[in-house]
Amino acid sequence: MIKNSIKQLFRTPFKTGLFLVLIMLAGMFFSLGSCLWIINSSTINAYEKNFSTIGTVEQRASSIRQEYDWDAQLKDYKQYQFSEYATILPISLLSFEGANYIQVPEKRSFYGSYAPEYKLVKDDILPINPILIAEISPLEDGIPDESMKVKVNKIIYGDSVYEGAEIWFCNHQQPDPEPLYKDKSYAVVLSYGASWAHGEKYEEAGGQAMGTLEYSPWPLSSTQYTPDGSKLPDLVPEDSLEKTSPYFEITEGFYDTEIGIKIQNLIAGNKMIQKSLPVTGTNATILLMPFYNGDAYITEGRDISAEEYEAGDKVCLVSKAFAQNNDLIVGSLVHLQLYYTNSSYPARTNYDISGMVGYSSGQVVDANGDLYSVFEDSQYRIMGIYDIAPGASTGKYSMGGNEVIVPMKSIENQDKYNIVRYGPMKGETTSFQIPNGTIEEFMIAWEKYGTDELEITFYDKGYSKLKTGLDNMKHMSQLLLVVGLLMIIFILLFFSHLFITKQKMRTAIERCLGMEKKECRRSLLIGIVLILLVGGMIGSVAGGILSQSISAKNLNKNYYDTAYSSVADVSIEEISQENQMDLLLIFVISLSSMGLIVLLGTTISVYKINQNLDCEPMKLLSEKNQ
Amino acid sequence: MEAIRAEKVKYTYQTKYQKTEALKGVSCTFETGKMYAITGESGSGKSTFLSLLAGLDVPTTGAIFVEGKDIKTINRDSYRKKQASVVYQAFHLFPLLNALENVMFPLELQGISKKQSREQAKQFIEKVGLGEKILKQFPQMMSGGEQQRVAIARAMAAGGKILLADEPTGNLDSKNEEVITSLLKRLAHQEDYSVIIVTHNSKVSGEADIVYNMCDGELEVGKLEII
Repeated sequence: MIKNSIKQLFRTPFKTGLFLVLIMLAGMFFSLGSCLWIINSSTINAYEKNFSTIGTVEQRASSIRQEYDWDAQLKDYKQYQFSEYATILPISLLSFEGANYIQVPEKRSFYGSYAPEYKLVKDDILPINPILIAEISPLEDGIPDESMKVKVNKIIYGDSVYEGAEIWFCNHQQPDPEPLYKDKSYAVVLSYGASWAHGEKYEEAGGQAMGTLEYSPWPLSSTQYTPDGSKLPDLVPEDSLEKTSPYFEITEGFYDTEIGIKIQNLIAGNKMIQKSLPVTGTNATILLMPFYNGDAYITEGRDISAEEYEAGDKVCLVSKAFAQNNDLIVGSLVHLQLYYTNSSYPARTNYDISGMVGYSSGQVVDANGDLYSVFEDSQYRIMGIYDIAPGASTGKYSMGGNEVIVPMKSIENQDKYNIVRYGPMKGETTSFQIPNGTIEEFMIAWEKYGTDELEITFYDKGYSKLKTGLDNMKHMSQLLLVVGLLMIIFILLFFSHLFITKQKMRTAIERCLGMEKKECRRSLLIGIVLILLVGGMIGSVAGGILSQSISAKNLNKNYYDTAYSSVADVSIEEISQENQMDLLLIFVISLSSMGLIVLLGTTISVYKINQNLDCEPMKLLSEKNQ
Repeated sequence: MEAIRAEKVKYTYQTKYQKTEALKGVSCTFETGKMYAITGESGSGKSTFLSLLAGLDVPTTGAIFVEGKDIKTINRDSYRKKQASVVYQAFHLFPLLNALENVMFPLELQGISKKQSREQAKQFIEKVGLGEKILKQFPQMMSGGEQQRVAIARAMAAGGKILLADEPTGNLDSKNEEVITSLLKRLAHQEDYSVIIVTHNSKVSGEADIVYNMCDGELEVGKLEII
């Protein structure tokens, strides 16, 4: 019976051949579409894992404030421009209809942690502190509206080598500074290196332009804020003499006066800050731009997990330098004593990557001139140690020296106490994560519900452009898949009509000759299934091979143009290699395509054969007679 | 000897719009060694009756007995394979098989080896008066008479002694009509077949041993005549 069935099939070679060729073609399109679709899906998944989209937020200045600072050298005011914010906008503005976040927006503060037990600077780095707190006397009476020589009587804080030295001194705080008298001693915070010595006295002494750096008095005012962003009134008012001529005559009991105590606290506070490290609280490491950019990366241990972030566990990431300086390893505990909060700037603005700390009198004592006290004392376990990549950016988005990363929720008193700076959202301090490929969608909703006062910048490492290529591939594969499937269905319906419905008579004769219904089914099915198997297999395998060729040659070169993303390059290469190597997957898809063709063909054929068998054979054969 | 017997056979079928009683209680007996003709107008129920005799369907009521067994109780596929064969007006040979393969078909269906089937098929073709030349020819290359003779050879090859023929000469010229009629008659008389022919043709029915006239689903007993 099988032989007869096949024999009859091959006696219509054109029809059979056409069926075979068309099934091969349809199978090829279908398999090609399936393979490309699955390769594309796995590529998209791989990209989803390798790419992430981060948005940073910066409040736009509501106006520009002009300020004029006295330049004693030019005898004129220098103009400076400062951004001014009518109000500090709340982060809640970013919670709007249509905002789909993976990580909701966060505005990060960094905290000063008093860490006397840790070594914060390598031995071979000499600390350069440009600040001296000293008692000085001028060599002659005079007004320090230009450089004048003063003698350092006593170093209260700073390098004692300067004790007894004569230095050039000039007040750049105002055009008419208070005079200095040679028989008096003054307490002053001296800042070095901001300007060159200048003026008649300097020239008379043989000084040359840009020859010697001078010292200037540094204001003592504090910059303390309340949690809602209000600046606390300072002991030294903005327009007071202490502010504009911040040197104070030392009289009997001077160090018991408010200013005297403040100067002593400044000294203690400065010593404290020199033994401090910055702690940054976040809800996800990836929200920190240096980590996102790859400038910072974990070398030992692991990242803080999402669960740990969510639970606010006392875990942290520390820098490699900090760990090495203090013999800390993954699993060690770090003692963090938080004593001030900076809600305006990132850690790097105060903490140089080498570990050295910049001085700011505003940050080391509070508005009353008192030292800040520790408000949170905890032990954190090191989960991972990060390092800074060679050639990493040292600009806006860089890490601070000894910066410790902790879950934001682990800080119980976040943004509550000892707020030394308070400012608007900045790119360095405010960020969020959205699903890849949804920037456009986000911005449409933002334009509808957001505000112009916030500027959002997205970083996706070129994902959006890559996604265009991926989408093209996806659409192409879907088209091929649908065309292939439609072709298969159409071809099967057409040829089942030719090979089965039009063979009604054959079935009727077979029935009349005593063939059982199942034998009739088998007789017709065998030939068709054979063609489906051969055509389906050749077509599916060809489609699979073609998909490999297309994905290998075209996908990466034509669609995934990575010229704009060096970071993406590595990922794409890896992903491409993975995809090309997965021949087993291609084989399985090809086999499945063939299986689907055979299954679909068999189902349609059985349905049509059953329709034939439902006809009463004698009636059918007699119809012809009539 | 009784080959096949119908007893009060009724057959009703339901179409989309109406219920039709095609046979209304037909009773008759067909014996081996005789050629029968069933005549009647189109739609009288003669082809339906032939279909029931071929075991392609079963009576709604009544019974058909083959060698004393009710056709309902036997394997009707096997019955058609081994006991009864049908020949049609339009011959109904497999168009993609040649004459020899057409005749071999029922033999192979019975499980006879290819070699034996070929030999036996040649003999049957010889019996219907066709020579070697026809063996490799496909139906479309043969004349109507040749096709019908191959169809009869295929019916004979099926092995049964009941040969049912539905207008076997309807598509033939008078010369071939005679050849086929005499061949069927010879099969009945010499080979002991029970040949039952449904026909409009009076020449063919005139050659039959017994003629039944079907009218509106009934065999009119009064018009039963023995020629």
